[in-house]
Amino acid sequence: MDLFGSYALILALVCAGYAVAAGIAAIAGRKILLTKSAYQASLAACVLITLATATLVFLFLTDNFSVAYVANHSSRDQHVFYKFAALWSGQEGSLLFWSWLLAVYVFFVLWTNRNRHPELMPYVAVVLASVQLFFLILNVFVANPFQVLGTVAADGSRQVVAQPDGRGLNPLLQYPEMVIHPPALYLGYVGFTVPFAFALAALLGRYPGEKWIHITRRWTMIAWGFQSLGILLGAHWAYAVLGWGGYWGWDPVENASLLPWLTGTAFLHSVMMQEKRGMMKVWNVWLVFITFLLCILGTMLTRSGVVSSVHAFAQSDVGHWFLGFLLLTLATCTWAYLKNRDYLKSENQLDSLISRESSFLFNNLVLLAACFAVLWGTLFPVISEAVQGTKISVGPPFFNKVTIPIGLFLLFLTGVGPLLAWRKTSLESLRRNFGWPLAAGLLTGAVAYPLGLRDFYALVCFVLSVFVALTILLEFLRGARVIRARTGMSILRAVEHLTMRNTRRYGGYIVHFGIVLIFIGLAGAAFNQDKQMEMTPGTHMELGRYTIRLQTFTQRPGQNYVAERATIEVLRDGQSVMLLYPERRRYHANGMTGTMVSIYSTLREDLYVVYAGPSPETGQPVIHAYINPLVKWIWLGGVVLVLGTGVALLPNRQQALAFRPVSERAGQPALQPVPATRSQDAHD
Amino acid sequence: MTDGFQPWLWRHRLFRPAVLLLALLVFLLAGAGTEAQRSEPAKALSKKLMCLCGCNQILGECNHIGCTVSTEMLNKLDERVARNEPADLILQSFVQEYGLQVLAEPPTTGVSRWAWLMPPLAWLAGVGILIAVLWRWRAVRAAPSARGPALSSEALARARQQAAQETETDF
Repeated sequence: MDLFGSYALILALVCAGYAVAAGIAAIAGRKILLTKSAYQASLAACVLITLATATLVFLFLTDNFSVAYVANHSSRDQHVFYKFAALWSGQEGSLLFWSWLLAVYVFFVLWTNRNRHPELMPYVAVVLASVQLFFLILNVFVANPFQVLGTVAADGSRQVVAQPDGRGLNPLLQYPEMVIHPPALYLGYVGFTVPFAFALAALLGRYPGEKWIHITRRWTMIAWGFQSLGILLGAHWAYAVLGWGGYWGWDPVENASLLPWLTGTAFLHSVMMQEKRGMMKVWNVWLVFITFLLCILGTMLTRSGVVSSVHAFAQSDVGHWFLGFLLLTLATCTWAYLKNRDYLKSENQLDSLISRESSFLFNNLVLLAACFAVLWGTLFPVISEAVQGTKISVGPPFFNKVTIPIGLFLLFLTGVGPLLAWRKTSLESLRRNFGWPLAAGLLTGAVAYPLGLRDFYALVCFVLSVFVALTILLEFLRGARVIRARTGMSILRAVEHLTMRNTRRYGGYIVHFGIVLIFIGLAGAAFNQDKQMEMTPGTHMELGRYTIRLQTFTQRPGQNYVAERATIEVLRDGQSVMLLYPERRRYHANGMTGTMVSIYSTLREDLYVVYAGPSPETGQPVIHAYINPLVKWIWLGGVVLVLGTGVALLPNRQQALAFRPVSERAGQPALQPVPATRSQDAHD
Repeated sequence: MTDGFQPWLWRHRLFRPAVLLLALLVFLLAGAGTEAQRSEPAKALSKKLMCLCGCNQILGECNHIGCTVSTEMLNKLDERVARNEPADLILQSFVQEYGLQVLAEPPTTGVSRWAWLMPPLAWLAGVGILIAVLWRWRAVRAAPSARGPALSSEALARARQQAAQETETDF
């Protein structure tokens, strides 16, 4: 079977190579048949990559330990769930998984546009096939997941050697979220290839207008939604598994996932200026380019060992390949821009500084500033070592100092931006939209400060959160009241009707509300408490309003591990509220250990208990407990954010009747209203 | 055993208080566990240092029980804090022993100061570019005429449609 997988990958490489060459020749010679041939080759490559991926999954499920990758990342007693997840747990498999996800995207893009945009799609197909070709080169020549374990016999022949059992999956990865987190994050990373391909194709082909933006809007939102989901799941995994009491450690790999998310977010906003006003065309094209380049850079950082990280894969030569691809892509983008920049002239100019347009400009500036700060902090140890020969650390204190003010300004813009009018906003409109939210926000601050909320950033965050949440809520209410006045439906039904009538707008508001919830949760970190103690059964410790009593300490066998489990009774204000079972597992296959944190979670705070292992000095179990206020709001905000993205992706239920013309009110013939139809979407 | 016979120790006037004190101590020790907390100054300093075991975590947050690197570093930190050494001196001694990478954030001197300078400089440059762009856009904007030509109904409908598209339909 390993040979089957290898051959499938080699054939896919040939097909992708042909798709690139034939696609370029077809564009140069305007040959339709050759274009179709290139399409077919791309689709064939997708099918072949799928076969190769299925082969690797089959090798895992059948415990074929003659394959090095399977032997290194699986074992016989490993749960089938994790045998499947082992596919992306190492360098070679995850690169194949990346290729496969790209193949799925490519397949859908080519299939759904097979009879559309005949002038644009040949370019798109070439760009997509080129990216696919690069990853297939890695799969075949640099990090082949089908390499077998073998020995060389006396006569020089090679013999395959199957190990009796594998080394097993890294314990940190044996957690349900790790089955979802990497695919979600990869779907985000890989998904940004689609808008990149369309942007580059539109530039290369001088494709007219904003069509490429309309085509890729949904693809971009899908990629962005998955990236958001992946980041949040990663944060939750770090919180629930790594056992250090936090969810975001500003680790280089975490930062790498945040970078394209920030520029992708900027693109999702600035793209509206191009759609509405024909402005910021150069900016949008470069935002997409930069987002894709940051995806590649992030992958390079994760896999090359350039920066040290607990999340990174083993150090390998793959980094040089990524660097080469990064530079080649940057050169291609620059060349395409310099060649066709005349085509990117703005059609309109700014009418007023207080307008939606200028708020988007500020939004982009803030997001780009955040992206630069994170990238700079991530790469600075490497830069410092190269310049002065001294390695320095850039840890969480630096990132917190630099990014928190930027984040708060962004939160402010989240509330202000969407409610400013296009072109120009009047003072009356400002007062109407922001008067009450601003007053409520300031009142929150005035009440919270005397109550003991003295952390400056946390206080500002709560004030802004109330302000932004109320602006969003009032925007929903204003629209719903109008609908209720016209139709008589209930306010909740009117909100639903309003949302479904313009899913993109109100889905966006829901996403913003999710961001507010996340910020509230992040602000809670200012009030974290923790305590670590050596405990024996019957002993207790006090933390905040909780008493934590160690009841028993036992051993429990699992499917492929033995767990040392503490049973902890949690008392709040003297009343028993919960039993928690933090564990430390030792896995049979590789002898590695992993923690299973136990959390008592409420909207107010998390009581987070870790059995950290026996003390090296006394041998007694060490229990580390944390009180992390408001953490649940982060996960809740994540759910709302993903939900809002889903709503924004839905087709509009009805076209909005924008306004009633003056002539109608004067008794003159009215303009024909847009028929109330279930449209696909105004932009598709 | 008769009522009249009691070992001398039992009859000692300090015996009962001693037993009670001992019982109380046993109870307290059994009830409260062994606290492994460090002092607040040590805790604060441990957040300014990195664990160098490769975990890329703050020293005070390294959660690897048995991590020899963080244990050794934390012990040294506790000792120096217990000797009432000034915080700056303690950090300096750690830098001398482990190198600059032991600091959780870059120092504000030498090349490292650029770590701090670049984000605000980039922000200022961005604001500058933004102002320049806005200025340029406003400068080239054509002045609206006070009274334009009369519009046909088709042109008016087109204008309304454009206004609707630009102001209402989307986010």
